[in-house]
Amino acid sequence: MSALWRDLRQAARALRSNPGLVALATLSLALGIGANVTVFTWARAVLLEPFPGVRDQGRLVKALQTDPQQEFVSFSYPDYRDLREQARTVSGLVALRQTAATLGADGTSERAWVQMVSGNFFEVLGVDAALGRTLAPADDQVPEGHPVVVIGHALWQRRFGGDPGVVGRTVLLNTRPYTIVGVAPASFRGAGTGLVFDGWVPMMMQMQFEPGGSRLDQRGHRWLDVYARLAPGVSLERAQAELNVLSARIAADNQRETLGRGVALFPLWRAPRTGAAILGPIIMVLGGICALVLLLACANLASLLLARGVNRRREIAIRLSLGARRGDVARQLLVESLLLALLGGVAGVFVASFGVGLLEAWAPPTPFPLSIGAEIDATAIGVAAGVALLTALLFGLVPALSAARPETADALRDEATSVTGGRTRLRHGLVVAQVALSVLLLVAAGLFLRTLQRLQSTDLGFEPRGVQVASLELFTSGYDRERGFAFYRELVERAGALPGVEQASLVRRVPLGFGGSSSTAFEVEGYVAAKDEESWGYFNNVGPGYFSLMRNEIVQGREITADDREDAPGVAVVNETMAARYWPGGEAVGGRFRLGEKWITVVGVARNATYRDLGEKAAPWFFLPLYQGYRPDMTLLLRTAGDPAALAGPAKSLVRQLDPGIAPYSVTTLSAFIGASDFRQRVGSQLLGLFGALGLLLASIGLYGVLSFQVARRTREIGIRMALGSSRGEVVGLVLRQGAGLVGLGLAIGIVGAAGLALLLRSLLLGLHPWDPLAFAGVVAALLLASFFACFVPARRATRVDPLVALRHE
Amino acid sequence: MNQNREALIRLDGVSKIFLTDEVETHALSGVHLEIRQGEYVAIAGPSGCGKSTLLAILGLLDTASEGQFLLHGKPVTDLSAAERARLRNREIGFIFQSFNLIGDLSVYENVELPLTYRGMRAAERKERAMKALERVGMGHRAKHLPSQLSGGQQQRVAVARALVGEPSILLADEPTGNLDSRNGEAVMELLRDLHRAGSTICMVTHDNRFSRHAERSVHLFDGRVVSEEEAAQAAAEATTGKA
Repeated sequence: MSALWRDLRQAARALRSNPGLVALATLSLALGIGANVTVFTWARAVLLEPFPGVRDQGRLVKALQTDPQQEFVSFSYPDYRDLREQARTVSGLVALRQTAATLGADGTSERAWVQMVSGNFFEVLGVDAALGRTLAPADDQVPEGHPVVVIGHALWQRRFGGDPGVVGRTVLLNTRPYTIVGVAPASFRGAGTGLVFDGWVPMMMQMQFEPGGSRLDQRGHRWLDVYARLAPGVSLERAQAELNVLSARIAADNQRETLGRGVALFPLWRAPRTGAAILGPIIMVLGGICALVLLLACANLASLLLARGVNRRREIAIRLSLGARRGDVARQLLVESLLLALLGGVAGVFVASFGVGLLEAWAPPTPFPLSIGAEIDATAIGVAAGVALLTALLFGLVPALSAARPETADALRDEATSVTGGRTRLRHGLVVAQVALSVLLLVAAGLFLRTLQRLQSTDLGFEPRGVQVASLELFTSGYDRERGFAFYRELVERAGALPGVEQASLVRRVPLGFGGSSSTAFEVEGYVAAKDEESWGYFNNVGPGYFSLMRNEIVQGREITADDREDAPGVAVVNETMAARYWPGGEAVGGRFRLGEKWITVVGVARNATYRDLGEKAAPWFFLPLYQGYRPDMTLLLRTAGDPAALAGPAKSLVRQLDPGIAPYSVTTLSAFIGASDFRQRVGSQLLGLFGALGLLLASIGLYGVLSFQVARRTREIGIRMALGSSRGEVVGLVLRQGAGLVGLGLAIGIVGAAGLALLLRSLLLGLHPWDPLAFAGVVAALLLASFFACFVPARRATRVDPLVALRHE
Repeated sequence: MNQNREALIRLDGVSKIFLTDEVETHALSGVHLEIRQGEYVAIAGPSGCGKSTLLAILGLLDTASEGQFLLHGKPVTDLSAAERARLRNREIGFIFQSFNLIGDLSVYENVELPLTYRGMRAAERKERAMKALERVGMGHRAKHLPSQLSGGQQQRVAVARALVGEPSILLADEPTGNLDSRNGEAVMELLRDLHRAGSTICMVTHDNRFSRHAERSVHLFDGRVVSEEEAAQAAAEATTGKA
């Protein structure tokens, strides 16, 4: 212990006399460790513990139904109920649906987010109330019969001042009275990755939160998220097998409506159509990148410490001559590395405390209650300490062992220091490694940047630029169909007259937005489905002039107009994929399909557009006129020739003029609104670019350091060469050739590694060839330029050697 | 030479060959040497004759390519690095031409350093270190850094460091090489005092003035021992003018 304490004191003293090394080490490690700790907190919040406050999340899985095309779809309530009653491999199956609502209390209203949940929700998740009680199966029996709510802890604090007497009070949800029966614990935020909810109501109250009547008995209407807790000792595969069998049985019992559907189970960290699916891949990529950056920083530090070890070889030789063992010397040097790593770790925690909020800051505008919940706690600090220790070993161990093995006799005499070939090769190897790692980061950044450029120039099938959006929710303000239609008509008419507005229309689900998608089965007149094939398609509700406003070309027939009203025959516009699939002869216009009991006539075919996410496979879509199927949740679209952001204020004012009780939300430009679609590529290119530049800087410093050291070592040789007639140009060439050799090798290794990495990133590149020549060429050019400057300074210094002085150099 | 004194060090046919880029350099060839307890031996010779190589082998800093090295009658040729370090720590005290003090450590810490590698308790280390410093007249500068001392003072501290572990032998490699004549004489006087007190000393020097301080001089040339003479014999020859 006293030896360790002595080593610590001497290490602190040695580092104090090297402020430059300490500063560089602390900065490099702070960024590297801080970035890794940040990504760890994100991974924990999004992937490992996405539902804070829920017991044993490792045994929770998300269930999705698979349609005949193997796409994942939600559950209908009857399907969920049947599975819940029959499944034995799961100890509980919960259904939920998140929805916005208007919360009224004490005379004021606000927009709130609630989850409609099955009665066993809290029990299966293992969440107990902080105050009062949670919902129970007894609260989930009779439709419209259970106006009770469990409120969230944050809402309780914010809206009710943490009043312990809140249980039993009445609040208004969508103008209806609900009794507060309990308060959720502070740690619980709901079952939604990266989201925080204000309350939970029974599923039986669905009609008061979702328009369009009761869905509880509609087997074909798939709208629910379902989660299951695996029974003790049951594997995911076994549970999935049972649920598949049950699903097939249910399908057979109910024939057409659920034909061909199975059930897929996913652990929370990779469940499709969740926050984990959106953020998970980018977090994993970021994790890999941060690890690379840290490796780079370690390589840089190792190189600096190796050089420092050379400068200290006399001191080390003295210690060895006095009887120190190699282990004593290595331990002392390792303690110095640990001290550096400790400084870097502490600074890294500081960096991480700023970094954890970046994920939410980068998120595109969303109507959802986003809250990643990543925080720096004891676990994160523990991770920082562990990473710091690991980095100390990574960058400190080899230099420590290497330095503890000098040529003792030579080092003790007044003779010129010479470095063993092994140690020089090690430093060179580290520089090559740094160059290679930088290439990896920069190529990845270049690929994401190129992908982003392509996305921004990709034809989406519609024109998002020049459009302002404002979303509305009429149901929660008590509007019915008649009032709603009247409101929409007046809104669009007056919005179209606003200064600067060229066109105004409405849409239910904005393409590439956060609104999700709806699909349904239908029967196509004259179409004979194959065995086990189900006719289905995604659908949207649009106002008159929608396709014109969105610049989504109508290739056959016409688009939706104001004449497509309730009292007119049912019509729809279909996309090219649906037209080709169900009217392969090319005569979609005039064709008919049946939705429920109603026949719909196709009046137009729209060019395929990108609807759900970039890179999606083409799928059938049909568009129904708003005024033939009332929806209380629509988004106002305003096209302008000028800056669409300038319409935000006028749009909000207009809505308030029409009804002060309606608060528009997600008021932004369409380009920003659909920012989620290229979120991963945007964040990827920015972060990778930042880290790649950092890596290049570190590699350049390493290269500069190695070459400077070589020039100093070869001073005598350079002096002899110049005395014998070598020109300054030849001396520069001598140094540059050495640098070029290191850079060339690092570049070659890096390119090969980057080619492999690019294949792994393929799914995020959305069609860009993983070996895109522009991306690779750009990186090579940047690296050569940076390396040239790193080499040139020492090379120029070499030309200033005075031969006379050099020949006396020892 | 007093043949009755026990042989502390014995070299039999020791050779040292350096291999550099396939070229062999014979730094030492077939050296036979004996150093007895309490002797003061000087190893002299021109530059490149192998003096420092011989001293490095004697100090267990280097190993012989051929031959045998006995310390206290026991062979040391095949010892492990850890065993050699242990022997160096306990049996040998080094005094270098360039002092070789560690700049970041104080005078006291430099002298104490060999004892820390023995795992000695702090109190005992302090007692011994201060005693060694007092012996060389540097006790009053214990808290200073080497950079705050003159060359002569630094060498005195180096001598204290060499003594602190009570080694069997002191090995001095050109101890006055970086000192002016006054300081050089002072250091040589110190070594003489140590020898009179019973220390065994082996000193490498190229300066005949200082080799005469020793009881016996061993002359090397081209890696071989070419002559040995007792100090009394050398003094007599100097007086009579014989070579």
